[in-house]
Amino acid sequence: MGIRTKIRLGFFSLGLLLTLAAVISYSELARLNDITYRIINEGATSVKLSNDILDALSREDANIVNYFQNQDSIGFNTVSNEYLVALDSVLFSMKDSFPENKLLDTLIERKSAYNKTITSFSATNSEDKIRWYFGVYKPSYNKLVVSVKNFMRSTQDLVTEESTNIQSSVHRAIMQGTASIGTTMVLILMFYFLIDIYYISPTIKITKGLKNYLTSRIPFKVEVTGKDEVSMLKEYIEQLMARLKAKKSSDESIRKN
Amino acid sequence: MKGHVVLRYVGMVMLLNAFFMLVAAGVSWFNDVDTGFYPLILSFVLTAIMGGFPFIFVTEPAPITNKESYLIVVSAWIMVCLTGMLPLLLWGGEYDIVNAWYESVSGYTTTGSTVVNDVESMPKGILFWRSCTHMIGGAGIILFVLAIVPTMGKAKVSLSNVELSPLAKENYRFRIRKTMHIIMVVYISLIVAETVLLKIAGMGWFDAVNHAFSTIATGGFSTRNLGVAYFNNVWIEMIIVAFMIISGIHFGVLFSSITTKRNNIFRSEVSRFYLIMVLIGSLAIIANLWNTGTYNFIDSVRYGVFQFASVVSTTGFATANSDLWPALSVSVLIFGMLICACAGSTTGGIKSDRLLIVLKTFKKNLLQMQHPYAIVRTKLNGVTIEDTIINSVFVYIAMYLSICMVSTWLLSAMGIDLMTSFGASISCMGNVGIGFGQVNSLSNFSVLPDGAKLILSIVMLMGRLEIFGLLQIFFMRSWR
Repeated sequence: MGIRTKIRLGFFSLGLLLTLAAVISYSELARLNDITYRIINEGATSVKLSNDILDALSREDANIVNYFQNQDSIGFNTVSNEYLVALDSVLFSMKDSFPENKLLDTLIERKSAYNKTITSFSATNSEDKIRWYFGVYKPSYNKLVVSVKNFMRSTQDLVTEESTNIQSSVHRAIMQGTASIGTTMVLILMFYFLIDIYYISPTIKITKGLKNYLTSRIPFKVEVTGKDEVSMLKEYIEQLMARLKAKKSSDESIRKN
Repeated sequence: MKGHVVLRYVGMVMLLNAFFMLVAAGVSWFNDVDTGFYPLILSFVLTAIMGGFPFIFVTEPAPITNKESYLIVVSAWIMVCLTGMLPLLLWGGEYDIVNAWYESVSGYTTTGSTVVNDVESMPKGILFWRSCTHMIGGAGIILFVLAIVPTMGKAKVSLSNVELSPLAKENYRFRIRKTMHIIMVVYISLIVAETVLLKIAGMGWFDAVNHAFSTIATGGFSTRNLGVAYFNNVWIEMIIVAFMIISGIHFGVLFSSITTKRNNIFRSEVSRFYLIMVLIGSLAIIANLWNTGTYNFIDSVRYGVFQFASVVSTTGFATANSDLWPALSVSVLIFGMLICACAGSTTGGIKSDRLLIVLKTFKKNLLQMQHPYAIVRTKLNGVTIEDTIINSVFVYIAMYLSICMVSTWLLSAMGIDLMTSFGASISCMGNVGIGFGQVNSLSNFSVLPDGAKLILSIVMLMGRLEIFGLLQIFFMRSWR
C-alpha cells in the first residue's frame, strides 16, 4: 500500500467518524424537536378545542335557562340546534387532531347521550321543565363536562409520558455524538503518531543523512520503517550513492592509468 | 520501543471486541430489534475503526521484546475495558460514565459485581454483551486473540508468557500454540456442556447461555435481579456448583484427565489440595449453619455448598444472603475469597498453588531448623520449586494483602463502613464479585460512591493482571 492510499484511508476514517457523530447528533436532535413540537402542538390544540366545547356547553346551558324563563316564541329545538351544531363541529376537529386518544370515544358517547337528552325534551309545564332540567339535563351536562376536562388533562399527561422519550433522546444525542467525537480524537492522535513514525521521522533522517554525507562525508546509513515510497526513496539514494562512488573510483583508476 | 507494533496488537484485540459487539447486536436484532441494537451497532463501528486503523500503516507483524509484550497486554486490557463500556454508556439507563466503566472492568476481569439495580429491565442484547465480556476476559483477551490469529511467530510466545502467569504455565507440557488451543477447547466445551445441562434443568436458552458464560469464566453476571436464587431450582444450582468447581481446576489438568493422560486431576497435587479445601470448607459451613439453627440440614447443605463453591471459584453467584450467616461461616467464606482456586483456571485470588507452596516452604523451613545440615527442597507435583519462584510467591501474597488493606483504608476514608470496605476490597482483588455489609451476596455495588467504584476498578484490574502485570508499566523507564 503506497503513502497516498494510507493517508487517504486515514483521513477517510476520520471523516467517517466525524460524519457519523454529526448524523447521529442531528437525527437525535431532530427527533427531539419532533417530540417537543408534538407535545406543545397537541397540548395547545387540546386546550383550545376543550375550551371551545366547554364554552359551547356553557352557552347552551345558559340558553336553556333563558328559554325556560322567557318562553320565547322560537321553539326549544331551534334554540338548541344551533349549539348542538357548534358542539359537533368542535368534536369533529378533536377527532381529526387526536385520532388515537382513547378518551375521545367516551367523550363522543357522552356527547351522543347529551344530544338525545336535548332532542327528547318534551316537557310542557314549569314543574316538568324544572324536573327535566335538574333530573335529566344537568347530569348529562355534567358528565359531558367531566369527559371534556379528562380529555384536556390527558394531553398534559402526554408530557409526562414523553419525558422518558425526551430524556432518552437527549442522552443518545449527547452520548453517541460524544463517543464518536472521542473516538475521532483518539484516531487523530494515533494518526499523528503513525505519520510521525512512518513519514516525518524517516524524511528528517534521510535529510540529515544526506546533509552529513555532503558536508562531512559520513556514510549514509538510515533506518526506515515500512515498505512504501519513503523506504524506496532511501534505497534509491543508497543506490545512487553507490553508483556515484563506483563512477568516482573508475574515473580515478582511469586517471592513474 | 516500537510503539506502532504495540498499536497493531492492541488493534487486533479491539477487533475481537468489535466482533462480539456485532454478535450481541445480532441477539438484539433477533429480539425485535430491542433498545440495545443501535448502541451495540454504533459501538461495533467505533471499536472496529479504532482497532483496524493501525493496520493501515502497520501491515505486517513484527517481533516484539518482553517490554513491548507487557505494554501490549496492559494497554489491551485498558483499551478493551474502555471500548467495552461503550454499549452500556450509549444505552444509558443506570449507566453513567463511572458505572459503565465499573461494569465493563467487572465484566472483563470476571469479577461480576454489578452496579445495576434492575438487571431485568435491560434489553437482551446488552445482557448478552455483559456475558460476552466475561467470556472474553475469562480466557484472557490476549489468549483469545492468540488462539484465533494464525502464525505470529515469536510474538505469540512473548505475549502468552505475559498473559499466563508462571504458575499457570505449569502442567502444560506442550508448545505454546497447542497450549492455547487446549485452553480454548476446554473453555468452549465446558460452556457448551453447561448450557445444554442448564436448559435440560429448566432454564430458557438465553438464560442458560448467559449463565454458562458467567460460570465457566467464573464471572458472576446474571440475567436476573436475584441471580441464581431467582430460579429456585435445586438441579440448576447443582449443575452450576459442579461447573464452578470444575472451572477452578487448571485447564491443562482437565484436558489431561479427559484425554486420560498421566497428569490428571487426581495426580495433580494442587488439584487434590483445591478439591479437599472445597470439601472441608463446605463441610465447615454446613455444620456451622445447621448447628446454629440458621437453616435445616438440607438447606444448610444446599446454600452452604453453593456459596462456598461460588466464592472459592471466584464466580460470585449467590442463593442466600451470607452476610446474615454466623461468624465462622463468614470467616470461612473470607478465607475462600482470599485463597481461591488453581492457577491455569479462570479464577482469581491468591490461588491454591501459592498457598500450597507457602505450606510446603513452611514445612521445609521447619525441617531445616531441625536438621540444619540437611538439604531440603520444596517440591510441587514432584518438581523442585526454585527459590526465585518461592520468593515471588511470598512477595505476591504480601503485595496482594497490602493492596487489599490500602483499598479498605481508602474506602473507609470515604465514609463506608469497615465490613463493606473490607468485603468489597477482597472481593474485587480476588475478582469474586460478592462482599459483605452493603455489598453482600444478594445486593450490588451501586450503593458505593463514584470514587470507591473507580478505586475498586483499579483493584479489579490489578487482581486480574496478577499485580505485577499492571504495575510494570509504571516502571518502564528502568527497563532497558
